[in-house]
Amino acid sequence: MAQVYRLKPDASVTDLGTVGYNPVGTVYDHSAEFDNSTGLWQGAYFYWDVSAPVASGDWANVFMRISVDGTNFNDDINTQRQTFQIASLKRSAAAVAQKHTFHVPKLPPCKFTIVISSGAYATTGTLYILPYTTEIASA
Amino acid sequence: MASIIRLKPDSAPTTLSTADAMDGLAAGSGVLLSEFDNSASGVRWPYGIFELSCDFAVNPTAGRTVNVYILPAIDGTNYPDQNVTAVQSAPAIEFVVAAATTAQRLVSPPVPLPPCKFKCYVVNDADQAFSNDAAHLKVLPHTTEVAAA
Repeated sequence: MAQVYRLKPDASVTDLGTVGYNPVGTVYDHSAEFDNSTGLWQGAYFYWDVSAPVASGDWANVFMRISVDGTNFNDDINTQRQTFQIASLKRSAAAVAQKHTFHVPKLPPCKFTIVISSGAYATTGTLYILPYTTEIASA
Repeated sequence: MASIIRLKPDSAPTTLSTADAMDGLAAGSGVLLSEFDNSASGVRWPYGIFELSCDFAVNPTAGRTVNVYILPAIDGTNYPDQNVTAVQSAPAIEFVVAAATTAQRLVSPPVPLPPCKFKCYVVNDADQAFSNDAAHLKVLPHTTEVAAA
């Protein structure tokens, strides 16, 4: 009997905490760690829920910090901007609540965190992840 | 016995636009189309090919685009914002239109689909409005299958 490949999402989203630009000391907050060394998900969709932005903005840039040895992450973009950018989100022209999604088709098979640099204006929001993989099912 | 991997499309394309939803869509305007539920077991298509059918009453400038954004509801309920001027990441598809008033049928290459409910937001970034002749957006979901060689 033929079998087909289907997407297989996680049972529910995971809350990765508050992430975004923090104006105090020019620190870019990063999300909670997502340990993909056990789940080994192939890709993910993210949802960034900004309920109360402090000011209007332009683009928010999304980066991923990866730990290949399970302990050490690549440098924070606060001082080192060699981190790979994975998405750009166009922010509202007004300081209003806003909700963004972005897609990362290839996740690393290890721990990672997400950093969102929201430009010259302070904006933070709660980040959620829906990881997925593929499964082989009956046609 | 050897097996091979073939493409496996859905039995027919799904029309994402309700009747007249995109008719007369003004230049610079957007419209949110109906939901496609890609979350159910037995569905969860990894890819989709999109077809845009539209025409213009006045020739648009060649090279302008009609953009399609895929908006997933990753928790099954909450969609991201959609707006023609803000709160968007890059479009999933940019259909390049011809400078013509005849009907245009534009088809995308395969595009990744999210494993959840999603809606398409269509932005007419051409510089002329759609006419009122039943513009539509369809998706042909597809996956791969393992079959006998």
